Amino acid sequence: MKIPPLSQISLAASWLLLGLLLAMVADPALFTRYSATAGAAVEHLRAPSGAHWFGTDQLGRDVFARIIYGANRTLPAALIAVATGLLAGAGIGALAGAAGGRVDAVLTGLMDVLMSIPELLMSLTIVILLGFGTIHAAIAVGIGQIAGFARIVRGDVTRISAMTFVEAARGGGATFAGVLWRHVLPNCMTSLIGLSVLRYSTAILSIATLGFLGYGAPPPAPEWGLMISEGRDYLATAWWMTTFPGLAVLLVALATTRISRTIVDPAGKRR
Amino acid sequence: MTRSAPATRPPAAYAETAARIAVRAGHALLVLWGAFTLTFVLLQLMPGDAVMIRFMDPELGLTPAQIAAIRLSYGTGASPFVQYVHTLGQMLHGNFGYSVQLGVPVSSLLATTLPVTLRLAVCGFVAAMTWTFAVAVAATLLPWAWARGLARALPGLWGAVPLYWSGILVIQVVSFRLHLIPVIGVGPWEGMILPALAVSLPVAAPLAQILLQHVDETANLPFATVARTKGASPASVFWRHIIPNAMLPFLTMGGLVFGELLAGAVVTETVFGLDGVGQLTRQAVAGQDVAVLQAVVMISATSFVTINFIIDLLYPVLNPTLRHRARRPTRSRAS
Amino acid sequence: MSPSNFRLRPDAPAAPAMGPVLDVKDLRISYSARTVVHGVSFQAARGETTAVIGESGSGKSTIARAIIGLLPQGAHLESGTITLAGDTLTRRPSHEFDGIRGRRIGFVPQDPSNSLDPVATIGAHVGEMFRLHTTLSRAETRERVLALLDRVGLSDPVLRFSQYPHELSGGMRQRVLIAGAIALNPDLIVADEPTSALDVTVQRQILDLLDGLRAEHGTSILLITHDLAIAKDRARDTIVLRSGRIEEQDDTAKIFAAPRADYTKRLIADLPVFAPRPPPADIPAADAADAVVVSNLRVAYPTGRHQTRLAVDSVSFRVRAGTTHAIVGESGSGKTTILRCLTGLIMPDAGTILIEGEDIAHARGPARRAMLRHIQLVYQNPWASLDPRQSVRQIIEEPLRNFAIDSPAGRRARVEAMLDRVHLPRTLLDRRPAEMSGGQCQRVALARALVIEPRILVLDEVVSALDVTVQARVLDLLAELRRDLGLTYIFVSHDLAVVRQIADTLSVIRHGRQVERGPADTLFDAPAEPYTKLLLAAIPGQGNAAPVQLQET
Repeated sequence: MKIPPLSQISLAASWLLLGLLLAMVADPALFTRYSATAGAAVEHLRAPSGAHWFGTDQLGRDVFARIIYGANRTLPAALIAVATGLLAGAGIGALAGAAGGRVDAVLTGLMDVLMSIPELLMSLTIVILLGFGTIHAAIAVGIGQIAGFARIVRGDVTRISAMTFVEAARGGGATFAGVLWRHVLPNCMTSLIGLSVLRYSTAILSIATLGFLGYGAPPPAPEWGLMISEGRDYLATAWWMTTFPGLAVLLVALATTRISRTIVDPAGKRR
Repeated sequence: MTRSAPATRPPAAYAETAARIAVRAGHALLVLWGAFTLTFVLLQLMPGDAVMIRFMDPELGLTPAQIAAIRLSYGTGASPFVQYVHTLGQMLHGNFGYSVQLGVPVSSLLATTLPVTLRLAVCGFVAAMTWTFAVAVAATLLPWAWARGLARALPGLWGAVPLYWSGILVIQVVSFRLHLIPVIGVGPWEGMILPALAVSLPVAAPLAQILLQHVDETANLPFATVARTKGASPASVFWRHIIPNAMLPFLTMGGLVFGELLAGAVVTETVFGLDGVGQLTRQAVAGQDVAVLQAVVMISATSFVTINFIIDLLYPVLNPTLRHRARRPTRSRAS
Repeated sequence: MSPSNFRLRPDAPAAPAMGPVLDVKDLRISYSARTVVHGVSFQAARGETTAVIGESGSGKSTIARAIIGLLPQGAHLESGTITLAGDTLTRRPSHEFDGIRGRRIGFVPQDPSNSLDPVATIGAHVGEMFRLHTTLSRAETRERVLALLDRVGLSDPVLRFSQYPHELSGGMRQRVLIAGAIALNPDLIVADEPTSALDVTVQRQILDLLDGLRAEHGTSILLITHDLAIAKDRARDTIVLRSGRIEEQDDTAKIFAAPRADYTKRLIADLPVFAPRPPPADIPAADAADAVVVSNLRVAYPTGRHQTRLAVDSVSFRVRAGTTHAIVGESGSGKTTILRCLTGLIMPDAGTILIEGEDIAHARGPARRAMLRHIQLVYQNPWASLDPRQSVRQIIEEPLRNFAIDSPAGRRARVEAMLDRVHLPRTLLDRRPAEMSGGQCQRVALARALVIEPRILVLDEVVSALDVTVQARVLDLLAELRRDLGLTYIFVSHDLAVVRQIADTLSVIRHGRQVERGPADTLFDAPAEPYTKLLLAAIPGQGNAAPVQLQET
């Protein structure tokens, strides 16, 4: 195999896409001259062309522009979601794994309860509590992720705490907190970062799902899930209205998944 | 030579098994109670007059005077604890309260919608299992390296496809362009083909990845190599040694994702216009119909807990190392 | 049915009587760009045991895998041919090789604990051979399997037939694997380190069994091992491998009598069983203070509700300051439990442990911490006992920081001095464990233990995971450190040959009970207890390969 292997190409493409998306979040106007919310009614439902790369929607808005401005909304929201899940979940998991005993038993029970409620239903419960909107949806998605984070972190902390080098450090006079800080947590980090990136991609999917169901930002907003939902009414006539926002979600999710795999398993070898 | 009688298990072993089942069942009930408490705190303690919502329902046929009497008996803002105990007691009797939006008992709403969703979940689960095993077989046994690589990459691809989008795409291609299966006006099972397909893919993705991971791990264990040294072909090793071993952790994962199938119903039923629990849930969230949502969460949690309880019980059947503790060698290698 | 008149392969064709059973010519194997086997040629004589010996990385396992046609993923057969009784094996299509493996080449793997499918019965394991290669009925297969289980010395074959691997001990599992390997009376059995995961007494029984099968059925055996002593006892011919090249191959007797290659000479010199016991280096006076006194130690582990198992029962010994006390026992003997008590990791249920006169059980808080500082533990697996994310500098410095010893600059100097002490170059300071060899890691672990100047070192099988040459150097280092720093050692090991090199006094432990204790010389020269005698007799390399009798394991 003399050409670079497919895995290398896909990794490079993933980083490139992520860079582009960051630029879109920073300054959407750089990428399109159209507005995301104001459209020309006469140009409604135009198929993709040189003027409108991804076509226009039922109100004549440029679909490409709406996707770019949508990135500006969805990507930071997914960050909020992962941060919520990570902080609460890793906190619960690390405490359970490190403390052991009765604390562990209680927290594990709590995790079991959280696990028994599917992520989406958990998010919907929070949405009822907080109300609709992108940020609320993000927090709801994050709370849905707590159980997953907690379970993995607890497993990692328990596993690493039982390792010989941790016992050796204790023998060398290290305190409980010292061992946790200097040995257990650093050794959990790689898998935790990898997991966070992976959860970032599922957060994007989930936020788009809530948007699709109509619990995200209200209609004029350019949200990927909402765009797909709106495009459903024009399935037979304007395929581009659903196809391109869906592709956007798909590609971002794929790219982040690909990158997370590199973090967890840098050599690219299968375990 | 006579056939060996299976070593009879001492009575203590039965007692141990019974105790184990009791402990697991207790744990399952505890988890359900926790799920109820959590959703109650999140949903029903919201601002608003919970008693009013529950009893002003026209279905009850209560006169304003009666309602006033009830309010008096509970106190306008009946203490949260009283509400909690009341709701829990009702739910234990199969009474999930009333839908504010539709003005009918939640249980009657569930009676009409649950069969649809169960059908979708079962079809989706069967489809997901089919994909999962197809991928595992293809990724392990196909004779061409590129094809194995492709099969390996598939679950990652599915996992990233938004469920509602793939559903829409399927409708667009299959129904609008190819006119193969109509979306509306079909029988209860034929109508499930497309939704089950759509709901199964995102569920199959993590399942296939887990199964592949365990297949890889098992294939790297010495006993898989030893089986090859006996002259078994790769396919024979895969079916006779790797799959039975990889099934154990895979089953656990299967139990975990079954709940996601029910959640996936929310989106799928919306896309395909099925009148199931998912559709009901979507409307409940839009209308802040907390009693309905709590009922849905509890049904989902109950099915999750039940399935995992069954899997727990099945584990020793599939994994002999969890059986016959009494016959372990006295000289263990661990010191 | 009696096993003696049971023919293993009644329809076996008369094998050609002439020529070697295995002929390997110019074998060259590489992993991507790295060549690991550089043109190796050797033969294995029919009906004899041929040993291939080498340290880790010598390519011996790769050669074994090439012979059975199952090279690990990424390995590539560059050139060479392998011929089995006249038939070329190399470059055969996979499905054709499936008919040869098992039927004509039997394989006995290294680690019996993971080599049997945990969800299949013993009967299924051995029966698989007949299912794959014959058309025997279920009942016939069962008959054959039962006879084989009996032949490899398993008691109650009918019970074993329906048992699962986890219900059997390591030695029994290895017998099952051997039963599978000989089931179809193959031309050759490739045994890849068949006993390295087993206790020394069990090792001896398994090797006796293989020898017996060879003598009875004329099966040829290719014995892959790292242990020269085993080769000396068991093989007619020996091939010495190093870094994928053959250093020497000849009659085993000739090699051991007069090794030609320098490498072979060094290997033999470093083998503990052949090395003379070093003279006791100025042993402290008999009235030296006791560093450690253990009396009537007892530890029980809960095994269920209201049930406990005694892991250690009434063990007593005293160690004078500046001497080495060895605790010897096989797996499951409770020796690890004893040292975990010594280092304060678990509390004994009864008995006392005095460290320099102070009772470890009564110390609390800072006093306990100060006390435990003076007794440091070094572990068996050098990689596992070092944090993979820390550099050598961080690893050695950490205990100093824990006890707030010295300024940062002073600590730096101490770390560097310690590195010199264990004879490691300072260029290693920024390396991580994964970038070092096992011997280097074990030296780092020693440095970490010694940097806070303990007076007692507890050494848990510290050389068991190391190659024989590395092992010899680490033992030299231990002797030097003890002399220079006046340390007291408690040396836990299963390897009596190693213990003989280092111990002044020793305790023999079996099933948690102390079988015998006393000065090392007395125990080695005139053991009183049968178990001690048995352990001594089982040390390979002494040239007395007569079978020893012991209960089935």
